[in-house]
Amino acid sequence: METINISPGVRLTVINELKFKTACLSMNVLTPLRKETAAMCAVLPYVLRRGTASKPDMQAIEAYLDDNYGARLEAFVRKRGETQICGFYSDFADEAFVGSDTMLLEKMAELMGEMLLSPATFGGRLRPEYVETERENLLADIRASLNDKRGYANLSLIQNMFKKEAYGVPKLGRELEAKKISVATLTRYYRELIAASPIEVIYVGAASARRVESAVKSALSTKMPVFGASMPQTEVFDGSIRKPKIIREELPLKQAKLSIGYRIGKSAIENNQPALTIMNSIFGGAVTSKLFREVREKRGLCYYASSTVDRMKGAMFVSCGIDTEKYDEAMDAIASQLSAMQEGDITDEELENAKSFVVGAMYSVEDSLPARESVTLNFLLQGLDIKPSEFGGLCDLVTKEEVVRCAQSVQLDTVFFLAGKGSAK
Amino acid sequence: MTKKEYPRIGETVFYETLENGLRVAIVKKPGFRKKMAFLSAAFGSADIRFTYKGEKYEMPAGTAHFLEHKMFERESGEDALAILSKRGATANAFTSTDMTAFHFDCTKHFYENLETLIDFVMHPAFTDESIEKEKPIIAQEIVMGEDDPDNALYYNLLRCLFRRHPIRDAVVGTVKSIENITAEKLMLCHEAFYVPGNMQLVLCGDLDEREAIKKVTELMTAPRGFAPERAYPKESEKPVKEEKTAVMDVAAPIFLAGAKTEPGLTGSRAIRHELTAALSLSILMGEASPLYSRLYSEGVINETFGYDFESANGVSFISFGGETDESDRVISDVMREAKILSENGLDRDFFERRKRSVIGDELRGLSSFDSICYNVACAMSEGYDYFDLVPVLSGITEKEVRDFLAKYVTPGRFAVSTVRGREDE
Repeated sequence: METINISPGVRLTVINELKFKTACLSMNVLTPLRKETAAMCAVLPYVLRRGTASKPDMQAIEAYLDDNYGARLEAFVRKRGETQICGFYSDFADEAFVGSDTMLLEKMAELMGEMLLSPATFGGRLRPEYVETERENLLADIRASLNDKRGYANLSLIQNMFKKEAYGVPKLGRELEAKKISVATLTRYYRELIAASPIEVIYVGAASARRVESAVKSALSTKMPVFGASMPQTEVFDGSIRKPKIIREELPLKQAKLSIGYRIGKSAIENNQPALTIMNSIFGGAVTSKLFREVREKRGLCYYASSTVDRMKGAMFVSCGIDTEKYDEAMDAIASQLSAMQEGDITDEELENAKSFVVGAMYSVEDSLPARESVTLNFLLQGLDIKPSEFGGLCDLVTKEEVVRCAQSVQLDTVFFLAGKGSAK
Repeated sequence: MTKKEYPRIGETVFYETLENGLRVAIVKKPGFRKKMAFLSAAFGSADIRFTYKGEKYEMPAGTAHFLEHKMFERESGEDALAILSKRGATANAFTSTDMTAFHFDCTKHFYENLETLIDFVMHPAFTDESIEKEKPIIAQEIVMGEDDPDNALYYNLLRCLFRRHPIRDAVVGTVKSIENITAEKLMLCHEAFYVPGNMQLVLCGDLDEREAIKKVTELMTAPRGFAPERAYPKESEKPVKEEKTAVMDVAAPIFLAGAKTEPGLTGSRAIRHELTAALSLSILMGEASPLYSRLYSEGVINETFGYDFESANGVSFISFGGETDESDRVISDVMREAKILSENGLDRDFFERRKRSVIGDELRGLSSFDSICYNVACAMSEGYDYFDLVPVLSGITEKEVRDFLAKYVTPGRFAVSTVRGREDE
C-alpha cells in the first residue's frame, strides 16, 4: 500500500494486487454531511455521470465504456460517520487479459476526471435536462426507502436518534431539500464543492504506483489545488446520561421491525477500535453472537436479529423482525444480552468465536476488489494506516476485559418500533 | 480427473466424477487466501411431486427450504453453522426452485470445514420436536417475504405466466403449507435427493487438486442412490392471465412484465438460449441502448429499470420492469422497438460492442468466488461448461438475436404485474 499526494487536497492510495482479473479506481470527494447540502451532494455525481464536455450524453459514454472491454463506471454517494462522499467507481479488465496497449487505467482515470471537472454544460451551467431528471430520480430514491421495511426502520431510527446531529441526515438527503434543487443552485454547489473539498483516489490492481500516479495527475491536471483542506470530522458522543426515547409507528405489515440505537462512549471510540469490533461481533455481529443464539435460535422470537457498529460515530444498532405482540419479550431478551456482556458474562468460547469471525472476515476483504476499495476508504477516514488483515491481527489480541470495558460504555438511546397493524395480520 | 484450461479468461479447472456419482469441480485461484466449498443437491422448491422407488409423493410447498434449515442441526445439539463460524468460516445456505446449496468460505482450516460441511449435509439429525420448534422461525421468514413489494411483484408475474408449474409458488412456502411438514417427510426427501448422483461439489481457491480429490473421496462415502423421477406440468406459450395488481406500501408504482421463452432446453442448447436472451435484451433495452437512453432522458424510467432471463425446472422466461408512472408506455415502446430491430436488423458496430460488453459482464462474475461456485454448480447440474460461455457468446449471430426478439418480445406473450401504493387506490 502506498499513499501519494497528487496535489494539495488530492491524495492517491495504491494497493498492488496481482491476483484479480479486474482493477478498480475510485475518486471520492469528501464533504461534511449537512442537512442543507446533502441532497445536492447526493444528486451531483449522477448529473455529472450523464455527460462530459467531450462525451455529452449517455450513449456516448456507454459506447466508450463498451469499446473499452465493457469497463464500468458508476456514480455513488456514501456516508461515513458525518462525512458525505460523492464520486465515481470504475472497474475494468486487467490488462493481462486484454493487452497492455489498451491503457484502460489511463482512459478510465481520464473519463472520471472529465466527469468531475469538465461536465457537459449549457450556457455555463450544468445541463438543465440532466439536473431535472436526476433530481426526480433522487426524489424517487428517497421515497423508495419505504419499500424496504427493515431499511426504513433503521433509517427512521437514525433520523430520530441523531435529530440534532449531522449523523441524523440520511445519505441521500431529505425530500424537502431535494425538491428545491435547481440548475442554478446545483451549479453553484458543484463549483464550491470542487473548489474546496479534499479528494481521496483509490486504486486496487496490478499497475505500478508510478503509473497510477501519472494517470491520476494527468486526469486531474485542471483541478485547482485546495490548500489547507482538512478531512471532515465526526463528532463523538460525550458519554452523558440521557433518557431513552421510544418511537412507535404503524403500518399494515405481517412482520414488525424493531430497531434499537445505542451510544458508545468516546474513550472506546478513540482508544480501542479492535475491542469495539470484537464486542459487536460477540453481541450481534455474527452467527455465534448472543443475539443470534438467544433471541433467534433459543427463543425463536425472530427470523433475523443482528447488530452493527459505527466505529466513527460511536454508535451501535440492533435490527430485528418480530411479531408485533412480542415487542416486550424481544426488548427484554436483547437488554439482558447487553447487560450480560457488561457484567462480564462472556465465555472464552464466545470471545474466540468472535475473533475467528472477525479475523476471517478481514482476510476475505483482501480477496475481494470492491470490499478492499471500500474498507480502504473507511480506514483512510479513520486514520488507520494498516491493511485489513493487520486490523484483524489487532482484533485477535483483544482481551475479555477490554470488551467488557467497551460494553460498559454502551447505553441505550433510542428505540424505533415499526408495528404491524390491522388488515395484514 | 480432467484438467481444462481456459486461456482467454485465465482459468484452470479440474473436473472429476466420483464412483458414487458425485460431480466435483476444482477452480484454481492462485494467490487467494480465501477458499470456498459449495455443495448442492438438485432439489428445489419446485420438486414437490415426484416418484421414488415406484411410489408417488406430494410434499407441502416449502419442503426443500425447510429441509435446508434443518440440515444444520447436529446430534450433539450444536448447530453446524456455529461449528463453522467458530473456525472463522462464513457459512450459509439457500434454496431456489431447482437447487438446495450449502456453502462456506474461510481462510483457515479448509479441510476440517469441508468435513463438517459434507457431514452435516449428508447426515440429518433433526427430530419431530426440533421440526416443530423451527416452524415459528420459518413462519417469520415467510411473512417477512410477504411484506416485500418486490416479492409480490415477482410471484404475481409468475402466477400470471404459469398455470400449474410449481415455479409459481414461493420457495419458502406459506405459513399454512409448512404446518404439514413432518420429520418423516423431510427424511424421505433427504434420502431421495441428497445422494451423490444428484449432487455437485465445487471447490474454489488456491488448492492442490490431487489433495482435494483425495479428501473429497474419503469424506463423501454415501452410495449413489436412486434419482427420483420428476415431471413438471406442460405450459402453453401464452400467459394464463394478462395482468395482476397488488396494493402495498410503496412510494411509487412498480411493474414487472414477462413472457415465457423456449421450454425444455438442456445442455449446450440451454446455455446458448440463455446467452442469446442476455444479448438480445441488452441490445433492446440495456443501459447503452437508444431505447433506454430515450426513456431515461424523458424521465419515464429511472435506474431501477432492469431486465432478466431465468430458466429452471424445464421452463424459462424473460422479464423487465422498474419504477414508473407509465408502465403501459414503457411496455408498448419495448414491443415497438423489438419489432423494428427484428425487422430492420441491427447496427453492426452496436451489435459487436454489446457483445464485448456482455462478455465483460460475464468475466466480472469470475472475480467473485460466490458467483463462480454457483454458476459452475448450475452448469454441472444442467450439463454444460460454464467457462465456455465466452466462445458461445462470441458465436451468437445477429440473426439469432433478431429471431429471439421477433419470437418472444411480442405483445401477445406478455403478462404484467404491478404493485402500487395505497394512496393511488
